[in-house]
Amino acid sequence: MSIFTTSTNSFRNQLPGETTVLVTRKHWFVLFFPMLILLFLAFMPFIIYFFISSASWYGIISSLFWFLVAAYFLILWSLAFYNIMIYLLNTVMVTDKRVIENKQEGFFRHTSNEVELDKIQDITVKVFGPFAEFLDFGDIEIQSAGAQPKFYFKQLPHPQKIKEAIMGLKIQ
Amino acid sequence: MNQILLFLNNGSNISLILFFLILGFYLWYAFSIIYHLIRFGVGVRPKILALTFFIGSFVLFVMVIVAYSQVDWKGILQQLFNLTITKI
Repeated sequence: MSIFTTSTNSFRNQLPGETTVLVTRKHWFVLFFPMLILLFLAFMPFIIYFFISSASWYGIISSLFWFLVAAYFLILWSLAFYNIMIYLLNTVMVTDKRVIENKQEGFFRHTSNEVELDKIQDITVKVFGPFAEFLDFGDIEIQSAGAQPKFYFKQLPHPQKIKEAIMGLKIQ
Repeated sequence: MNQILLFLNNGSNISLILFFLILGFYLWYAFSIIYHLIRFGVGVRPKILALTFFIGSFVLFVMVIVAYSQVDWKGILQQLFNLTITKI
């Protein structure tokens, strides 16, 4: 059960002596729409039940209906957690040495990009649209002197604060 | 080879194979979610969610099995048969 103890945000390929300063994921708004669709789909069996429960043949198929409903909920539960998994594993981590982006695109499909703090030249924050403005999320563009000249992190919450955190670490 | 063909000729065996294929796929899917959350998740939250998913999946899986055992297949098939006869 040791995996459930308090973690200080340790991660794979962490360098010796490297400290995690900030872990952020995309804004919750990204997860909102898939969850809303799943919530709507969760109500479907009850809507169907409302229409078929008064039919004369319902008594015969009722047990089959509830079996299908249970299987349907098992599928919905799995789909919901697949979306949550993708959301949780797409992270941007700021450590005292680098900025790391982990992208999870499906099962066993992930990429990881990183830029060292001392190679960062410029950070730009981009906020587009009223939703992004009110809910405080946006994109962060990092210009680097490394092999990959530009890093683009999309739909992050509080982008200005993230920028300030990176700049603060860079100055130290 | 003949034994395999004989096994496949039985309709109930086909549904048994189909059942195990679906079960295998589901178990692989559930394992992959738990594995990814525990192995690649940063911090405590993904691990707690993996536990939540596991408990929820177990409860729902038991509910599916119980609901399946309650299905009156004979009654449904009989009714379906009667309906077909009436239409003919």
